[in-house]
Amino acid sequence: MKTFFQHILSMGILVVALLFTVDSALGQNSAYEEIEYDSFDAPIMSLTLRRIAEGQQPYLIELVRKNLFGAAGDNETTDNSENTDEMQNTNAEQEVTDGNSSEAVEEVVSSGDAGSEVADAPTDTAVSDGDADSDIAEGEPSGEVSGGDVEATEGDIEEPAPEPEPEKDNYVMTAVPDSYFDDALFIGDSRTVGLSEYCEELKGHGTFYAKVSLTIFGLDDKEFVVVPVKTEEGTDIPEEELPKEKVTVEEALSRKQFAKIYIMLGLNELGSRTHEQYAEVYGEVVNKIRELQPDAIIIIQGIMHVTHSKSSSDRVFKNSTINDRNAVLSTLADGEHVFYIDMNEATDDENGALRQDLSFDNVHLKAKSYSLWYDYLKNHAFVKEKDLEQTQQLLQQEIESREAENAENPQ
Amino acid sequence: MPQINPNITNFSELSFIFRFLPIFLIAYYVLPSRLRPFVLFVGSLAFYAFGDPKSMGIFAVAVIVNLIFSYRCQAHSKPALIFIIAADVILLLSFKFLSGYGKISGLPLGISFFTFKMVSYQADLYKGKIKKCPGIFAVAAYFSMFPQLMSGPIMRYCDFEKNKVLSGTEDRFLVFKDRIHLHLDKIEEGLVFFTLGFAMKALLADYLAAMWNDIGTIGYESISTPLAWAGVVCYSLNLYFDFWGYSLMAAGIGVMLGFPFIKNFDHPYASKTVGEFYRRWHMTLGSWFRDYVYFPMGGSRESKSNTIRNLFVVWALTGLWHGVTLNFIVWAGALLVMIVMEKFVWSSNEKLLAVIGRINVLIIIPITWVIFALPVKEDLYNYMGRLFPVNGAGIAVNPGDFAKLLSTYWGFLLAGLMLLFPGIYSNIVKRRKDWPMRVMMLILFWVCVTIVSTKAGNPFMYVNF
Repeated sequence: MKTFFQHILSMGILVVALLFTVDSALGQNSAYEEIEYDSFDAPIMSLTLRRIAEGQQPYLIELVRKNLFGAAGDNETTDNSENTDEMQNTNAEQEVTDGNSSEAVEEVVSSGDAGSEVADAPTDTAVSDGDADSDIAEGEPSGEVSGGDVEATEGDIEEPAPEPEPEKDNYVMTAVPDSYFDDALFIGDSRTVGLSEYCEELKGHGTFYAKVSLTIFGLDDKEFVVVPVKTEEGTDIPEEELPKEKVTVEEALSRKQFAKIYIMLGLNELGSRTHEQYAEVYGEVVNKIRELQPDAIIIIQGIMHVTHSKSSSDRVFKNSTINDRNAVLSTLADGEHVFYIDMNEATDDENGALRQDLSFDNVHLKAKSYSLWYDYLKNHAFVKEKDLEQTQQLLQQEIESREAENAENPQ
Repeated sequence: MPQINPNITNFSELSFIFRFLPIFLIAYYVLPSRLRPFVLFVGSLAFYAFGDPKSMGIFAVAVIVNLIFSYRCQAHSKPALIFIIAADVILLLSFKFLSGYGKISGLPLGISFFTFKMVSYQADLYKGKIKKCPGIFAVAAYFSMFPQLMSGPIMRYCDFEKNKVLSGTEDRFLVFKDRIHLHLDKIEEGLVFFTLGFAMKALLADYLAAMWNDIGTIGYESISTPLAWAGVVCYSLNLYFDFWGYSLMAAGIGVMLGFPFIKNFDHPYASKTVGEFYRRWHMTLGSWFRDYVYFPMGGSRESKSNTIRNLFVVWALTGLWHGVTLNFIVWAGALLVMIVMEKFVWSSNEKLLAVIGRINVLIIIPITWVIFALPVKEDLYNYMGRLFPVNGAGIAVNPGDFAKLLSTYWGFLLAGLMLLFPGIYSNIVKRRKDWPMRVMMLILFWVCVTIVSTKAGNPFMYVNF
């Protein structure tokens, strides 16, 4: 015993390592089943470690707690939320956090006007769906059944209020002036964040609901879009003076209307689910946006490639996978309100991979390369047939004024 | 046949810490003590085979040829000494040039370090510094020992010899209980240094590397000038804690096996001059050049011009050793100029030297690390252009980039800067035998392991774009 405490560091490492290994081995087929693990890469105890890294309790501790304080478990909603959190982190597809779902419930309760309820309904349904998913996977009784019920009834009430279909317009692809993007919204992950930060031409024009590691599964539960708080009808405080709050993309879309909505999402999803499941969720999101923004056109952007060196060395980020996913994405376009474009032709090399000189980390464009993406968007925009002439006039004016500017200040 | 993860050769990987290392330690301490040099050699060969199986042949031939020539060197044969040193140096340089100009992808594992050990061993034999002819396996183990195989420290044979556990003299006649106690003492002591190094790597260097990578992602031509300067600090700290952390881990493993602690960094940023900085940075490399190049050429004992010539040779070789691309020559040249100026110009005025020396250490040396970091000429040119924006404003610069990156990484930069003060580290080392400090180390170890675990074998760590 004396030897043990004299060598507390070595012994502590040994004992804890053994405990973690036992915990991982016992939990491998139950609590840790969902964790993607390959014994080639790391010792088995990494199952427990990764769970701890996500702020969760190891399997055995949870087991002991459940058995000893089983009765108390019902009150411990925090416990439940932790589990849901963990599911989200390990499996990107199940991105439902408990905190957010309760938030959503609150919104339903608080929202008084019928107009915004239309917007809320799909959000709620999605959240409760998500909960059900993870609960089944978890094999645990859900503490949120009542919450789900409330949402369901809310949903029923809102059913009979469909939006009237807007009249049909034919859209044609054309080049457009910068001002085209004044009422455009860009939804995306870190790459779109880069576009917002490093595309000079878009500054002051487009709106961005973009966030690092955003996925198509996260539009209804990741609260990051900063918008003015909702006011009661009749109050006319100017928007700029209202306090701001963070809401999900879907919530934000229910509050402000856009004319064009660009989406590029899918890189972070490459490692999870099948192409079809991905496309299905994507399609649902597109439909939801159509409901929330009936006057907007939706432009689905194919996922940008990674460089050849990344594609040929990585297990997940392969251009062949990206091409497969883009192929299913392109089928979501209806040519009326939903369009598909693929900006890869602006940035590809002869291998059909992102040009190496455009990227440092093989995934993102360098700051100066974003203009290629922007130019592609500018030259592949969609306008109503009847507005075509006007658009081209505006573009012509823009070109002329630029030329005049350049003539004045030759570089 | 089961595949083996090449990451097993990375000290901060779980596969190394929980697979290779414990198995090796058990073999080393449980098998009869006279087998230890053999166990160390075989274990190191296995380590090499996991890390770089393709270069095994080159490594094996180098070990065998050096073993054969060592007998002639011990007999004070000057031609043999010259031949074997030339062979080792040519081996190293040819691979440096081949990989530097892209003819091969990457150097054979550890070649920069094992060739230097070989040269020093042959020279020490020739000079009679090594008295007794060591056993074949002991020498082979010295050349190949896995804790120092990849990136040093470049231990001398006289330190290797001090290992009384390896030779078995320390524990051969102990009763079982005392022997266990001794072995655990060694492991415990080594683990303290290992944990400190592990923490520097996992908690500091890796995050600073992420920040440096973020800067590269923006593109050097497009960073704002404040970010360019933050990048200088970031890369300097990243390099320091990465290498110091690695050296501590390597030295700690050495201690676990009974070797003396090999100091490779001694708070270089507390130095008063550049000359002192390089006596306290990567110390085993600096002292190697001093003992096997600078002193044999006459050092600074002769005329001023000879001293400058000797310094020139040392720094030209130091630059070449780090890499053969132009940036390493520029890097070494800048350091040479600073050192020569310190030695012969500023030294005339003590106050002047004190001020300029500190400026050199704290501002100019970090800038030289950026030169060191960027082998591609355009990158270096672009970076310097943003650091000193005299030639225009850069392309697609977002002035908000500084605030954005700092909001993510400020804690790591601050912690790194704090650790530049020698007091924190030396206090920890001084108190390492205290019980509370050991418990802290234990917690630190598991914190690092937990953080590292999220990166190993976890495909979902990718979900962060």
